[in-house]
Amino acid sequence: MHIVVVGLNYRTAPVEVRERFTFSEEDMPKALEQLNSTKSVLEGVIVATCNRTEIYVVVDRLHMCGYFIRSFMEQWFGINREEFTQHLYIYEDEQAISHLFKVTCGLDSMVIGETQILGQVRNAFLTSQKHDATGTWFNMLFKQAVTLGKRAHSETSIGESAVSVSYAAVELGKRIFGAFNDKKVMILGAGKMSELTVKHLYANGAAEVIVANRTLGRAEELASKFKGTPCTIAEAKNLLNEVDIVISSTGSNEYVLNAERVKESMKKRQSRPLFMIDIAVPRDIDPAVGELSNVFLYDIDDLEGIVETNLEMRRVEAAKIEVMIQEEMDAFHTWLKTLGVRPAIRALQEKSNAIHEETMESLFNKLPELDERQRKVIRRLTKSIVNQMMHDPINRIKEMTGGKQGGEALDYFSQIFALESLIHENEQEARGRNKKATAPVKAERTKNAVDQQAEEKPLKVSLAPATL
Amino acid sequence: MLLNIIYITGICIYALSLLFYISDCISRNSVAKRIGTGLLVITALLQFAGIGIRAMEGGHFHFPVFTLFDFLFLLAFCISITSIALAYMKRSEFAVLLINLVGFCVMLVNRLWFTAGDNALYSWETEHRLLLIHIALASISFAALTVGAVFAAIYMFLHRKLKHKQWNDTVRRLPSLEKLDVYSYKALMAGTIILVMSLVLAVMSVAMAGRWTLFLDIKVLSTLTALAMYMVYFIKRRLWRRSGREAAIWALIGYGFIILNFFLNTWSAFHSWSGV
Repeated sequence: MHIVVVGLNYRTAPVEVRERFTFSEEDMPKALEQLNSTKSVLEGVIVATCNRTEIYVVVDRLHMCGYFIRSFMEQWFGINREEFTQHLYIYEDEQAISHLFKVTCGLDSMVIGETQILGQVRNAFLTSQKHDATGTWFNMLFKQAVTLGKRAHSETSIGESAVSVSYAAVELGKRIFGAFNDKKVMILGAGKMSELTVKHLYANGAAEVIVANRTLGRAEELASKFKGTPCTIAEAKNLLNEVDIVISSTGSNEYVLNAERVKESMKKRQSRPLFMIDIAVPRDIDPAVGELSNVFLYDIDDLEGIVETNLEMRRVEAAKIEVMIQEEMDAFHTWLKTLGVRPAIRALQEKSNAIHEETMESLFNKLPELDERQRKVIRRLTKSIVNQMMHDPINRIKEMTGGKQGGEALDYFSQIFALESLIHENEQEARGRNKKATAPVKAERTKNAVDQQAEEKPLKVSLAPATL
Repeated sequence: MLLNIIYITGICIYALSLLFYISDCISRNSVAKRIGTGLLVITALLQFAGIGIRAMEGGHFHFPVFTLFDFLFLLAFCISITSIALAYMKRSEFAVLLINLVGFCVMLVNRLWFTAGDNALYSWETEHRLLLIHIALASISFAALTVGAVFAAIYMFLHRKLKHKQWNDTVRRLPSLEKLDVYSYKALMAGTIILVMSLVLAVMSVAMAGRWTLFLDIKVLSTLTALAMYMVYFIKRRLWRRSGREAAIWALIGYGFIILNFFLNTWSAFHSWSGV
């Protein structure tokens, strides 16, 4: 079996293409059903966000699987495949697993390290699981991916630093004040950028907002959004000693605030620091203001420099996550390898139990004078001997199948204990059971155009040794 | 012998703990931080065991503070305990590292320069137990003043970084200027109050012994100077409402005199019984 991901994202497809490939929440059960009834598909998860639409599948063979998934997309979206094939990417096996891990960790996101995608992948998996579209492989893989995503964000600082100018201003403010709970913010010039910055500050608990603008009408409009106080620029200059944060973005060609004015107001502020953000071009605040004691002045270039530094820090953290991803991939491979040993272990246990029962029966027939208690003791002790004998071989084969020559070791194991026929019988039995269990579902699926694949579903529970 | 082994083991584990903290501070590593904190707890336990052994020397319990070795050992223990408590605070990695660097230096210097020796005052038969409380309080106050000084130093560092727009990961990992100012103020406030209490007890003790000339000792004068620096700090901070940076400078000057105090023992007759 193989893991394959087919999809498109913000890198491969523009928004006008991506918007045509969205799955609504209410259509998801039907889409999953149709995906699972697609030829060759055994398990499926659909991850659909504004930046990506990805279809993760477990297929029984790689040959033509891309064609089948494209057919599914063609049918579901009603779009000719020639229109979207150029935007699609297909990853198989290791690349597909690595891609999923990168997606959950936020390394494949537009804003590297963002956490939203982790929740979206988790929800997509839970939806698929709820509608029986996942099996042994994806149940393990997606749980591992989500856990890795959480670990990546908790053990590294990839998602902590601000990557936009407005957030950078908030982060800077936090380094000065800690919290904005009792802080007053003043906006000079009611531009979009300053509005966005004050919005973040307000969301972080800023106590009061004063909006100053050349035209009072616009100031009133913006102030109403933050339950703030509107005023003119001239009035604002006199209120400078009362505020803790000043965000300036007027369209003025001259300095709105000069060093003299700020120095005067700082005398009244005593020891309280003043954080000034000048995002206007040309600048509103005289750079000499930054030299004053207790004044922290940052202009647009400084903020962009912080964003760039933060992005660089995120890239450094991403390198650490890459190592974590490699470790998780190894762990998944080991798990896959041990998956094949389960039927052999089960067969060995069944065989040993059968021998034990047979021997006990023979013994009790030869010694009919034994009472119930004696029989119980003998049964328990002999069972213990069998268990102890089996303990080491079972543990060893588990370890060995995780190694390089796992398949060979498993073959020897089956041959030494003569388990081949028993394993085969168990598989046949499991298939038979599964056929019965899935019969009603398949009956429904026969209505669909691609229903013939349903006959191959029993493979879903046959835990064949890994081929990845 | 046992004390020796415990002390050496304590120093080694302390050094290891610091290495893990340094590793975390250089490049964020939560595992290293956890290991560092675990080792710090082991160090504190070993220090506690060492103090316990000193306390039980001679076959019966006595409070081991009367030699410079014991005093510094107790100070190192106080610093370890304080830093363990701080380790559970957010963004405290650098503060814990710096405080423990002081603690480690204290332990190392103690090992290299001083020996455990006899409990001088124990055999000297103190007139009263006031001296014992004086020394214990002095130890706690020095630990608190160390914490205050470290926060003041971090304040200066962060202030400089923010003022000169030198943004990096270290800046992001430090507490805010406002918090650093508050932490430093509270630690210094506690440290100064305890130091004053300790000095009052010392004055009472000396007065009861009638050794008035000791008040002119260089060590007494330097201690009073340090106290005066801290008073200036509080006046500037509370009454004149000066900036956090200016207050931090005074906090560091005060701590400088506290360190100077240790080095004045050579020329001082005040603690001629080999105590602090």
